[in-house]
Amino acid sequence: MKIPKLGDLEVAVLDCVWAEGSVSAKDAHRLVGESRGTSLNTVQSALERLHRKQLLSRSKQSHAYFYSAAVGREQVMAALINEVLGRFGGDAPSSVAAILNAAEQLDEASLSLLETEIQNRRERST
Amino acid sequence: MIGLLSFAWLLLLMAAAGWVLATVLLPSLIPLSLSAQLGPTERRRRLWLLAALPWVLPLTLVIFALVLAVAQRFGLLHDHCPYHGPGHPHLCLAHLPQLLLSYSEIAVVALASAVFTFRFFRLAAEQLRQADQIAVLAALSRRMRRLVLVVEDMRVVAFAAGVRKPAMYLSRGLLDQLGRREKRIVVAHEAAHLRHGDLPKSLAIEFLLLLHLPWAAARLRRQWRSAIEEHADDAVTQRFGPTDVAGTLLTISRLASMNARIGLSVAGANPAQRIQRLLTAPVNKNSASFRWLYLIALGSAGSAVILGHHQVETLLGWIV
Repeated sequence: MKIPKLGDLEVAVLDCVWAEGSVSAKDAHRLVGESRGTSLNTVQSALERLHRKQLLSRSKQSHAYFYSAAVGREQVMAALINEVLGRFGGDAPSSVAAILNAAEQLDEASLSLLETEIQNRRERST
Repeated sequence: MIGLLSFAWLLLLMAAAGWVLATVLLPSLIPLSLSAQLGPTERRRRLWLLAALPWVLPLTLVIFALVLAVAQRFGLLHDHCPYHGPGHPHLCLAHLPQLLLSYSEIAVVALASAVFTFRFFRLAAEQLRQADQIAVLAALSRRMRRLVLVVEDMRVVAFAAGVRKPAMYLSRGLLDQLGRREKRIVVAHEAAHLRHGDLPKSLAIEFLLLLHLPWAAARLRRQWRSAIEEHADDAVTQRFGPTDVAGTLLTISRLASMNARIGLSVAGANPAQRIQRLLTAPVNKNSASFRWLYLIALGSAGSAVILGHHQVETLLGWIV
C-alpha cells in the first residue's frame, strides 16, 4: 500500500475519523476545523480529497455524506514506516538512521553464538 | 565574448579531467582508506573527504588555473603567450583563447549537465517525499517526550528521522517487547544520532555522492551508514557498557528477524559486525595522516597545473 501525499488538515481529519468512526463534514469541522479557524468548506474539501485518495469511504444519509475510514490507522502507520525505512535497507539514498538492519538478517547459529558470548560476559562480571 | 567562453570551456575541460582522475582513483582509495581497524569517528572523517573528492579535485584544478591566469594578467608571471602559435589555448586572461566548438563537444556537455541535473532533482524530489511521509508519521504518532514519538505499530522499529524537525520514532512493538534498560539503550542510541547531527549530515553526503559512479556511491553509502551506527553505539556504550548494548542489539535482531517474515526491512548497519565489535573491545585507531595526505595530494595536483601549465595547455590543445 502506498500512502499518497497528505496535508496537515487531511492528517488531522483522518485522525479524527479514526477516533470517531464515522463523521459528517459538520462533525469534522466541529472537531478539527473550529480549533484551527478553518471554514466548513475547507474541511469538506479535505474529506472529499481523502475520499478520492481512497483513505475514506462515504455513505449518504438523508442529505449529508458520512465518512468512515477505508484504511485502518495501523495499516497507514505500517505503510508509512515501510516507505520511510524500506529504501534504507538497500542502496537507495536516505537520510534516516535506524538502529538495526533486518535486511541483513543474522542466522540462528550466529545469534546463539553471540548470545552465549554475552551471557558469559554477564556471568563473569557478576 | 568568444575569448571568455573559450576560457570557460578550458576550465570546464580541466574540471572534467579532475573528475575523471578522482573517479579512477576512488576504487583504490576506498579500501585503502577505510580499514576495519579505524574507529567510526575517523571513518566518518575519511568518508567526508572521499565523498567530496569528485567535487574538490576538479575545483582545485580550476582554482589553481584561475590563479595562474590572474597572475599572468597582472604581470606576476612571465608572459610567454606571444611565443606560441595562434592555435595554442592559453590559460591566460591577457591572451584569451579563441576556440571554435564542434556540435559534438557541445552535445557532450549538454548531456553531462542533463544527467547531473536529473540526478540532482530526483534526489531532491525523493528527499521531499520522504520529508512529507515523516511529517505525516509525526502528526499521527503520540509524543512521549519532546523528541520521542511513539508509532502505533506492533513490529520492533526504532529510528531517527527528519532533517528540519529531527525526532526519534519508537514503535509500540518495541516498547512492549523490550525491557526497561533495553529501551533506555535504544533511546540513547537514537539520541546520539540526533546529537551527532547524523540526519542532515547523511543528506549532505547524499548530495556529495551525486558526482560518484553508482558502485562507488553505494559502497561509500554503506560505509557511512555503518560508521554512523557504530558511532552511536560507542556513545551509548560509554553509559551502559558494551555487553548490555550488544545484548540489546541482539534482542532487537532476534525480534526484527520475526518482522522480516512479515515483510519489513528495518534498516541500519550490519548487526553481526556491530555486536562482534562491541564484544571484542574495538581498536578505534585514529590518525590525522590521511587528512594531511589528502591536502598534500590536492595541493600537488594544483601545483602541477601551475608548474606544468605549458604541458597542460598543450594537452588541452589536443583535446579541443
